Amino acid sequence: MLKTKNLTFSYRSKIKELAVFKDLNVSCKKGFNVILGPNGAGKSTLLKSIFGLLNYDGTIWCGEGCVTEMSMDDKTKFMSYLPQIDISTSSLSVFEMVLLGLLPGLRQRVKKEDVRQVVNMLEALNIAHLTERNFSELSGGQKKMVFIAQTLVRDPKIILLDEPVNSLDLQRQLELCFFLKKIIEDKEISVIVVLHDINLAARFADHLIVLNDRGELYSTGSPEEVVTETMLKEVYGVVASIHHDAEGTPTVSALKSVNN
Amino acid sequence: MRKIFAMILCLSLTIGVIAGCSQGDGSKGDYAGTYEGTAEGYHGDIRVEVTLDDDGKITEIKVDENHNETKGIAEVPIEKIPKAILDTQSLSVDAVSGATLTGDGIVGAVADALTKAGLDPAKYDFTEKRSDKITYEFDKDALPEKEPKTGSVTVTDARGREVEIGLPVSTYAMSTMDVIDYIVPLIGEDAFSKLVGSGQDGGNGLQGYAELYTPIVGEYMNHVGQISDHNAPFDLEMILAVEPDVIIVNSAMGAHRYVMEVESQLAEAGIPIVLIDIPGKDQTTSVQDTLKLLGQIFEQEDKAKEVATFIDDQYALLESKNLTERTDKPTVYYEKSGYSEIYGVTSPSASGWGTSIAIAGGDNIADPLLADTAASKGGGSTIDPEYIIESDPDFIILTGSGLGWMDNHKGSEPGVAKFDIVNRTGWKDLKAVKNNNVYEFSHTTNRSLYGFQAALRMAQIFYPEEFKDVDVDAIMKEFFDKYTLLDSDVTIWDVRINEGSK
Amino acid sequence: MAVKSSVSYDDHSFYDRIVKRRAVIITALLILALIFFVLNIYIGSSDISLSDVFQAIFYGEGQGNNVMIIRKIRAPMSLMALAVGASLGIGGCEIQTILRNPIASPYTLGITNAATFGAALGLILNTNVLKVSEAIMVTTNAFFFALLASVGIYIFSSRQGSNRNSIVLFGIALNFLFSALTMILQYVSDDEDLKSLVFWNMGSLLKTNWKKLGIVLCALVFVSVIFYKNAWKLTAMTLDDTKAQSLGVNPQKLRRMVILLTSLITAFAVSFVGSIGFVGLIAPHVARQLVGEDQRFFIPVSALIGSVVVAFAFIVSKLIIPGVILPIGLVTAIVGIPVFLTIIFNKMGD
Repeated sequence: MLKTKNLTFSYRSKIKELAVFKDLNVSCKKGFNVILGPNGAGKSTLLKSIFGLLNYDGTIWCGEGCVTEMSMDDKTKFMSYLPQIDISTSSLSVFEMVLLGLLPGLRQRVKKEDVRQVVNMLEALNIAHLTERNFSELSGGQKKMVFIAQTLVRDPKIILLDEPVNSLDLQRQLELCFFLKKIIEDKEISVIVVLHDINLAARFADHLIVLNDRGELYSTGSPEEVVTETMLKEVYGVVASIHHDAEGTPTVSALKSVNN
Repeated sequence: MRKIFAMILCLSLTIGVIAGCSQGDGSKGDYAGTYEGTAEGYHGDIRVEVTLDDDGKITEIKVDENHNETKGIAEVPIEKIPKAILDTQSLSVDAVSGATLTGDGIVGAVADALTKAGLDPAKYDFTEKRSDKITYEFDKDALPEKEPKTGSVTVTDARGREVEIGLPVSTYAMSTMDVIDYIVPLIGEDAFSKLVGSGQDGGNGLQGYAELYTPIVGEYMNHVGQISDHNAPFDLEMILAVEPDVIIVNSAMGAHRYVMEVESQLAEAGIPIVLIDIPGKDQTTSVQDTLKLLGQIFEQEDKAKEVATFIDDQYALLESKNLTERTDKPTVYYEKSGYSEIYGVTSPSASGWGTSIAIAGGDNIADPLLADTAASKGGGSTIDPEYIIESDPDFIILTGSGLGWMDNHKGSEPGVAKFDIVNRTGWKDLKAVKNNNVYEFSHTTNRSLYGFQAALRMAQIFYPEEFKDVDVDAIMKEFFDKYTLLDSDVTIWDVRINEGSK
Repeated sequence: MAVKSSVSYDDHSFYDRIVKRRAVIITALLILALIFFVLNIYIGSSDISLSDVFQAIFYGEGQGNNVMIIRKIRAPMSLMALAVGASLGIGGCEIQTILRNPIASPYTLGITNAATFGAALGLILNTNVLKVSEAIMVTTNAFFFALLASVGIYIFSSRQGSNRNSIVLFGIALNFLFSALTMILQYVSDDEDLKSLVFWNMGSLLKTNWKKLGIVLCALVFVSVIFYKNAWKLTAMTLDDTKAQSLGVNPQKLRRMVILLTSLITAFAVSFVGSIGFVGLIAPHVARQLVGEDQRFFIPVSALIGSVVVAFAFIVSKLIIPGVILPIGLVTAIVGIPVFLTIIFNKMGD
């Protein structure tokens, strides 16, 4: 579904060059892809590169063609991206905020379908009661939900989410993951999510991609294949025990850091 | 730049003259003939032809028409100076103010011709010009000698302060150069030789006065310290360095506040402060009051009275016509601007130029609007343009778009844009514009020693019949000849639209 | 589960309701602007009855100078009040949007101070920057320097790595630079010139004629249309840059465009009328309270509030001393500040 070929990126300043990843070859499948890795592994950078917010070397391909050569306008037609940090202090209403997610196709006169689409999305995410609230008055979790709604409302084929469950309560985390699962099935799309919660990832992901702290691809595959005690030790530097439930989904209990 | 230019010119003039003088033996003989002479004028050489008789008497002086001197400015000396030399057979003729360099050039050229004829110009009272160059460099050693005090006088100044001043006053300082206009009529050239300090004004008055007066009274700036910047605190050190016998400060400007800040220090140094008030509250008397106050200080009370009487006479002349009581007053609009794009302020009868208009018997159209408002006092107000059109005044008086006492020497073109104001919407149809009754006056006149000129001229403009026997130009000429070192045509006093300057 | 709202969002009637409410606000402001416009044409030192006013406007008939007064003096000035108000309102609205700073205004970018410096050059030193006729020298000088400052900011904002904070800082630097330069001129100027400069700075509509009004209107219409076309992109600018980019907006490019266009309309407004920049601050502020930041409504409401404030200030400036026209900038500030403070205090009270 989506492949990177020899993806190389480094943050450059006048004095030094900090390589994030070099010749990275990653492929994402249809369905629920989760990128795992410790802090600084380049997970967010990878998502930004895929969406084209950074100037990288190498190429990225997907079913629609070469992503690297596409204009932003073309990309936004089938791809959408939720950044990790958002410090927006907009005083738009929630409705307007989500409506913005339809931006590339918005006209001065908002179409009925657009309004319907926004309302549906808000209802699907259980935040319809916030529709006319002012965005700046919302709690952190509510804001996050609004941004997720804004990202998903466009009905994209590829969805890039950078730590979407941060600052969400447990209920919302599960609701969001189930919702993603549902639209993946309904619409046959790809979702690429950066997560820190390995258990959540193991439970919902169809396909896991693990980056280590040098920005290299450590392993890739199904949760059962990828989540192992060795991986946790080598990538995360923790000693952990892993249990498998009836369906074979691994659950991790981290015991201690290898440094202790 | 102009300073340096003037300096170089003066220098080369002097060198030229000296070179001219160095020839010749001064022996007696047959001098009859026509001799050519040249000397440097303001803009390049001036050539003259001098015809002498056997005894060396000058019988004719022709100035070559092909000179580069400024039109308008140079014509006066070219006409006056040769005549004066012929009349007196002397090269010691009074300079024509405003065209000193041209005048000196003519004299120098005649001296050159005499030298060529084998005569000694010194025999014709030729002296090298006193001012070799105009320097503005302050030199402490050049300060005039102080005379010992023999008495004292106590005066009440414009702010009602009792000030005791030691007499005679041999040195003085003042807040801005324009104060000297009031002192010159009392003590003439001594006003400059006794001057030891002055503050700067917004129009660069120190330099302006130096350029105007140095050619007339000789170098004086070397003993004048600049004691304050424009609208800034006084430089106490400079005041103490030049140690004036008295410091005269115009209280109408901000300067009096600054000088009171250093009053105690000045008192300690024995330097009294006298506050004068120009322009004062009453236009018809404040100039005279100031003159009388200064007369006491400079022990010239009779002279002060004489000058004051002259001015009193002018206002008396105006009063004798009972203009203010007339019922057929022409309506007048005043604005401080000359441009259609710049909306200046007007003055009702109670302030500024409005006062002069009222004295001249004009019916100020701003009065109904502003008579009872705070705006009628200090500053001014911008009037609704349609009100002016509705009022359709008989006369429009403008000031402030270039014509100012001292910065418009005769010959400087008033320029077409000066009356650009008539291009304002609807002005073309105003009576005043149609009848060419739009006048520009020199803005600073009404608050100067010569304020009566504005009132007189306007009265004459408003009531030509009543004033047909009055010659304002002649009055001004008389005043200048009698009491100042300048000619009355040193500046442009007023201009009528579509007409030359007066 | 989350609490279900009592309002049903199944159909889009709720959205129609919002749009309708905003349309009502716009209509109300339009009517208010029209009323103020008519009042401005009606009020003046010469007594002209309302019917005569209409007669003069529509048929060009009337006694004496009425037609000229109405058509050539009052009408352009009244329209100019609206146009300048709208220009500053839109300018403020967009500057606040792209800098994401509710206390920014065209002043923040240094444009007004630059214009003041240009005017000061003309008034004090008689410097004629563009070698135009002496009569319009001050106006063109002001315009030249306003544009110069705009180009400076534009070039600066085109530099790589410039963001909204660095743009604000650059604007502050320009502000200080031009006010220092103006102060140097003030230092050497004489009292009369100083007074002219102070008057210029206080702003005046008196210089208006149809030609200038035409220029200001053309610029206003041109800029408004471009802004309105980009309304959704500009709305997205209320988000942070990455977020805006994820919606397919290029924030740097949009910011540059807005700076150039707002500078243009501000430069015209300021050089023709003098500095009445306070409007650029309060108009968007009030507009935000009324319709929020959806630019399709934010732009026209900011413009209308700007127009209404300046038109109202112009009425007041003619009424305080009958026959005398007080400087418009002075009145705008005096009239505007209480309104502004009321809004702030009300907001704090909530």
